[in-house]
Amino acid sequence: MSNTDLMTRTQLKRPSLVTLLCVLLAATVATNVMIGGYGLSLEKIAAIFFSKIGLETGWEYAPHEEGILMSIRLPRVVLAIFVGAALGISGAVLQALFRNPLAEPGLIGVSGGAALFAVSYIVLGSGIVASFMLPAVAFMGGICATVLIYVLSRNAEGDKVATMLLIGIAINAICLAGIGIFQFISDDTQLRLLTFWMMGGLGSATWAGILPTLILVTIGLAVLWRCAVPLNAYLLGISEASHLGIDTKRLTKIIILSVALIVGASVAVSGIIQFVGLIVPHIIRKFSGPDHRILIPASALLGATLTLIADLVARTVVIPAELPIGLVFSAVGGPFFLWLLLQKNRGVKNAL
Amino acid sequence: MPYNATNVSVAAGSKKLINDLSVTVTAGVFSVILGPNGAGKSTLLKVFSNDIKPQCGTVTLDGDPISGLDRNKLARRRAVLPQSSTVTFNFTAYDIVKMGRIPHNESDAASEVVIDEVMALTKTTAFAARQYNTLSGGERQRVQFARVLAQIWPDEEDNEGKYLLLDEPTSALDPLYQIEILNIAKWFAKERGFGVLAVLHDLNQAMSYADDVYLLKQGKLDRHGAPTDVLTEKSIFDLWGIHAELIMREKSKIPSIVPIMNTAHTAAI
Repeated sequence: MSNTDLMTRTQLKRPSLVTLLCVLLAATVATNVMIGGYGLSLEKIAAIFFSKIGLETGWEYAPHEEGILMSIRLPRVVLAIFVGAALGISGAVLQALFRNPLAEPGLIGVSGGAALFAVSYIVLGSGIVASFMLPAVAFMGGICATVLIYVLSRNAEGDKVATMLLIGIAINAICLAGIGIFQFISDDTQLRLLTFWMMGGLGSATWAGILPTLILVTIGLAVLWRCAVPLNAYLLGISEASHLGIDTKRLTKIIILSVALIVGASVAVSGIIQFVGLIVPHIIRKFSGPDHRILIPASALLGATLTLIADLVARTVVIPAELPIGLVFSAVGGPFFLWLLLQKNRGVKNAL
Repeated sequence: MPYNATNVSVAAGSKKLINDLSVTVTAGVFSVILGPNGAGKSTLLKVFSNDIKPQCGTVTLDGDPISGLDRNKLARRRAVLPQSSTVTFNFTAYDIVKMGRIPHNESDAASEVVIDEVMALTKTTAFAARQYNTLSGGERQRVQFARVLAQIWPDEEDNEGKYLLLDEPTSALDPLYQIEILNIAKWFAKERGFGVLAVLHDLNQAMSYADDVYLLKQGKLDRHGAPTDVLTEKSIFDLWGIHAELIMREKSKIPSIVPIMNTAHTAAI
C-alpha cells in the first residue's frame, strides 16, 4: 500500500467516526429527554421547542410538561453531556501525559482530591453550597492531587509508570479516607447535604446550579483540544517531544491545570464517576488510532453518550428511586478494566 | 557556519560530569564522541540538544546561543535520534514519521511530500501502514531515523545547515541494522551536507565511519583528531585499559582494532 492510499484511508475514516458519534449522541439525547418517570413524546418536545421560538405547531402539550422538559430533563441532559465529555477527555489526556493506558482521573486520585476538598468545604465551610465556590474548591483539590502524583512519580526510581499508578491509587485511598473522616465529624444537616452530594449523581441539576460547571468545562476542553498535536508527540517520550520544539514543562503544567479544572468542575456537581475516563479513550483508539486530534473530540462525544446512557439506566430501572450513576458505571467499567488488563498481558507475551 | 560547544561544563552536585569541553560539529562532517562509561558522552550530547543547560560555556548554532533560539526554529535545524524508543499507543510507522513535521506548522499535503521522500530514503515505505510497536528493533530505529530526517528536512528556500545528533544509535540493534543506520547517517553527511555528531561505543565503527573523533576521559577532552590519529594502541589502553592491536585492512586501508586476549591474566584468576 502506498503512502497516499494510507492517507486517503485515514482521512476518510476520521470525520466519519466523529459524524457517527454525533448521530449517536443526538439519538441518546432524544431518548433521555423522552424517557423518565413521566414520558414525553417527540411531538410534545418539538411543540415546546417550536413555541419557545414563536412557532405554532398545533401539537398540544400541558404546562407541566413544559416544566418537566425545560427545568428537569434538559438541565440534567446538558450536565450529563458536559460531565461525560470532561471525563472522557481527561482520561485521554492523562493517558498521554503519563504514557500509561490505565491512567484515569477516578483511579489515580484526581477525582478523589477534588471530592475531598469539596467535602471539606461542605463540612468546614459555611454549610451553604454556593454555586461557584464548590467547583472552585473541587478544582483546587484536583490540582493538588495531580501535582502531587506527578511530582512524586517523577522522582521515583525504576519503573516510573507502575510507581505513578501506585502513588495515584495511594492518594486516592487517602482522599477517600479523608472524606470518611469528614462524614464522621459532620453534624446531621451537613451529613444530609454530604450524602445528597456524594450520591447525587446528576439528579440535582438546575440551570443555575450547572452554569459554573458548564463554563469551567468549556474553557478546559477548549484548552486541551488545542494541545492535541503536542500530546501526540508526548507518546514518543517527553525528551523526544522536547526535541521536536515543544515546551514540555509548560505544556505539562497546562494539561495538569486543565484536567484538574474540568474534573473538579464535574466532581463538584456529580460526585466521583469512575471508569468513563478509562474506557472511552480505549474504545476510540480501537477505531481511529491514538491521534489526539481525533481522540479528544471523539472521547468527548462518546463520554457524553455513555454518561447519558448510564444516567438513563440510573434513573429508570428503579423508578421512582434512582441508582447512583457511579454505581452503574463501576458495574460495567470494572469488568472492562479486567478485560483491558488481560489484553495488556497478552500483548506483552506477544512482544516477547 | 558550525554548531559549537565552547568551554562547556556540567556538574551534578560536586561531581563534574563534563569539564571545560569544546566540540565543533561542521556541515558534511561525521563527528564521533568516544570514551569509557561515565566519561560524559551522553551529557555532552544533551548539552548540544539543549536538554541540559551547561553551568559554564555556551552552545551556539551559526553564532547564536541555542538557549535563546525559538524552539521550533531549533527543532528545524537539529534533530536527535534516541537509542531506542517504544511508543505508548499503536501509531502506524507513517504517523510516527509525520510527527517529525510538527515544528514546521504546515498543511498535511506539504508534510506528505517530505514524508514520502524520507521514508523512501530510509527504506521504510514498505511498512508505512504497519503498527510501530509490531516492527523489529532495526525497523523501528529506521522509522525513528525517518522521523528525525523529516524534522530537519528543509522547507522551500531554506538553505540553513542541518544537524543530526545520534545518541548510541546502534546499541540495541543487530549487526546488520547497526551498519544500515550508520550508512544512512554517513550518506547524509556526505551527500546532503548534514553535520552529524554521534555517541558510539564500538571503536571499529568509529574507525570506519568517523571523519573526526573526540575522545573523552572523566569529563575532559583527552584527544581530538582523525580516527587513525586518535585511536592508537596507546590511547585505547589509556582510556579503556584494553591491550589492543591495530591490523591494517588491505582493501579499505582502515585499521581494525583487535583486543589482545590476556590468557596469562585469565589463568591467574
